Amino acid sequence: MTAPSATSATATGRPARGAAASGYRFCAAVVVLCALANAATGFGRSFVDRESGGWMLLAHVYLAPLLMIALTGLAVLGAGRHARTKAEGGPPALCRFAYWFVLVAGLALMLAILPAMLPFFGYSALSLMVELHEKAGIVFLVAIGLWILAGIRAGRSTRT
Amino acid sequence: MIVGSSARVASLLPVLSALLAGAMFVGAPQAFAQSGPDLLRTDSRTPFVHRLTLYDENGTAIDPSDEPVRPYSPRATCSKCHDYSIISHGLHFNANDPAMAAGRPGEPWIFVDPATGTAAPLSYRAWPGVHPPAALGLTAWQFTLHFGRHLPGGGPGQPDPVALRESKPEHRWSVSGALEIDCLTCHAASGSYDMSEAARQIERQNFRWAPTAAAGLAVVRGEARRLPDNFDPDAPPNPDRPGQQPPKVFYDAARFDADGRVFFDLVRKPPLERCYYCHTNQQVGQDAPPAWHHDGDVHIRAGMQCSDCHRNGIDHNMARGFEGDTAGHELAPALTCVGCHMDTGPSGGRFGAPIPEHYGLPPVHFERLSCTACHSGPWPEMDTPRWLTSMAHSLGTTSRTRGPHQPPAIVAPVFARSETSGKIEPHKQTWPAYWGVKSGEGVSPLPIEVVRKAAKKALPPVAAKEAERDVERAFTDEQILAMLDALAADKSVSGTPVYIRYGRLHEKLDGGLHSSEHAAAVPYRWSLAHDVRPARQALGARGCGDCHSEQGAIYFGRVVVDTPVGVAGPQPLTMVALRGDSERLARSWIFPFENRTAFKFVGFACVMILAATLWVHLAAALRAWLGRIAR
Repeated sequence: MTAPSATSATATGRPARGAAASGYRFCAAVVVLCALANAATGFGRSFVDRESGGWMLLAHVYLAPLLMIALTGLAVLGAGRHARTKAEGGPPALCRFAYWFVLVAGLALMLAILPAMLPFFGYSALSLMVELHEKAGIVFLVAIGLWILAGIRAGRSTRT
Repeated sequence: MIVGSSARVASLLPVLSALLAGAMFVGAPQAFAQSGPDLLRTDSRTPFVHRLTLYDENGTAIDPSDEPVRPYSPRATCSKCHDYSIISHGLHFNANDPAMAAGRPGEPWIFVDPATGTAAPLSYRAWPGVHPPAALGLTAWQFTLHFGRHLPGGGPGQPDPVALRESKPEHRWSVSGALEIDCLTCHAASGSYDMSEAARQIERQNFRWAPTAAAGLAVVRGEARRLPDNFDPDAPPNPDRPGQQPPKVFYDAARFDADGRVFFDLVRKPPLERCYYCHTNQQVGQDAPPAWHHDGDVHIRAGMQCSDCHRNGIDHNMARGFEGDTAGHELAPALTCVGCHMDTGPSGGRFGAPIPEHYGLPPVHFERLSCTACHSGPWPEMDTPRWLTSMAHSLGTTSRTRGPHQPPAIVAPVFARSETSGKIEPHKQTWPAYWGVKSGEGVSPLPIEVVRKAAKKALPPVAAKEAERDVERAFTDEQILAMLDALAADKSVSGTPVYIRYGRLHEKLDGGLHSSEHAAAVPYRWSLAHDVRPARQALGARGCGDCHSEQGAIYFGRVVVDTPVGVAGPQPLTMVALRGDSERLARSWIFPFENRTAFKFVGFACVMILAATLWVHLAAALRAWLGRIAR
């Protein structure tokens, strides 16, 4: 899969170069792959897993740190570029919107579940967090979809 | 409260006697189906003082100075005010009533015969994995003789009139009498009621005398087991056989007042000491803590009684206390862990039950585990210990030879999935062992007398010392083959003889002993709910590692499959293997839990960096936007 933000970085016609760009592309690829895999293991486990904490949940738990780190890398390495308008040498507006949307949705996704690991919340709060995490997951998926779409569109416009 | 005024009853005695004379027949509970309005009541919370005239099983008032004098009948005495026919359908008495639903599997009666290597779980209830006593050739009378030591009476101990008419003299009901429901088994408040005395009387086949002796109303001398099958207890003494006397009753005259009434110290709610007679569990083995180390159930410590949760009305249809109990009454769903401890309805918080928050415990635990998984039984160790129980090992009766290795082997806690809820629960478990016949896919046990006959030919005699200590026997392959041959030679055996033991089916194939897995050989389990440990001693209170680690007994605890018989190795099974789950998966979960702290640090660091990045750029965008507005 093409990392969409890597494509978006070429929207101005000047392909991004250097270690930072490579890192950004790598993070983007990991974010997309982990997001899709975590969506499958998160939403799909109720249909597949029979055992308590089955393979799907295990995969979800193992992939979650990867997604968190990659998303953070994406923010650190891409924020500067995506803060610029197209006129200032930044990517197109849809790409920039999708990028920030992905970061905000990702943050919400993490914030919805990370506090559940602390011994401060009871059953009701934890159930609510799980529910919010699921909903945030849907929003994050939409953001990822939009980001991919924006990347594809930016790539096409660059080619033409 | 329903009461009996002995004075009024005494005045009605001639009428009652006439009415009851024809109807009072051993095992005729229908005769006492009284309608509510006829019963005396106080309707007060103050306990009624039970100063009662005693009646024998024929409904005749007992005068202790009569010679000979008969034992008192709880049925005839208590049913003056309490509807015996309704009570006799209660949970503790209805096992052999085919109209009753079997309900969730509970503790079976385990028929143990060390000489033949038999330890077969039995029940009149149709629980999967148990056999009806008749399958082992046990009549209701034999069952009562064998297990009556821990029966409160009624049920198989009191056959209905049809069964009695059809019973043969060798069933000895006419000699022993019926084992009526003895109300004092549960409702005696005084510590002088002696269930072990009842057990001794039952062993002597003195069924109808047992309640009198247990209550301490009289001393009973003599043994019905010494009387012939055709003995008529109502016939006058036989001068040709002066030794053939029914047991004699010597009432304690001091227990009778001037009007011939006896004070019964009774309570409506059974005290827990009475429950313990039949429901004691004792961990045994090298690592078993001594009795004085036990804290007991947290509810009991808080001042509750068993009967606070296991409640019933006059029908004695007791709430069993688990979620989904359909056999009980409308209050049953409220008398569960969830009913009291979760804020789910008006019953939540009763008795001051705390509503647990379970801080930091992911909700998936509540979907996959019962409350008892973390809170009940002893703290689970890696080697699952053996237990003795009242029903299986006659706890409560005196013994000098009872030891930790006395069969049947019962281990606990075994964390298996509940058949009803699908959640992981702690269980007690026993491996069935019996000689049977295979027909098609099914296996049914052989009558124990057939097995004993074959064992006389095929097995070496049991040493007297071994028999006395009730030691479980381990057979060699040759001995099993010899037994299978002896059973095959028996004309009364139709089908292929097999031996079920150690989780496998053993049969003779091509001249050799072949063992295989079989549904009939799987262990029988029943839920364990007590003693309940307090929250700070629950699994998980010390962290995720209580379960999600190499020392997590709920996953990797070992369960011994008894001892080998030559064909099966003594390989202990882990809990995950017993559940049929993946051990690799369970072990894969250990890593994320061992590194949970690191995960939290990384996670929150990512959140902070991400949030900071968003904040910096949001602030910059805001500044630029405000600047544009200002310009």
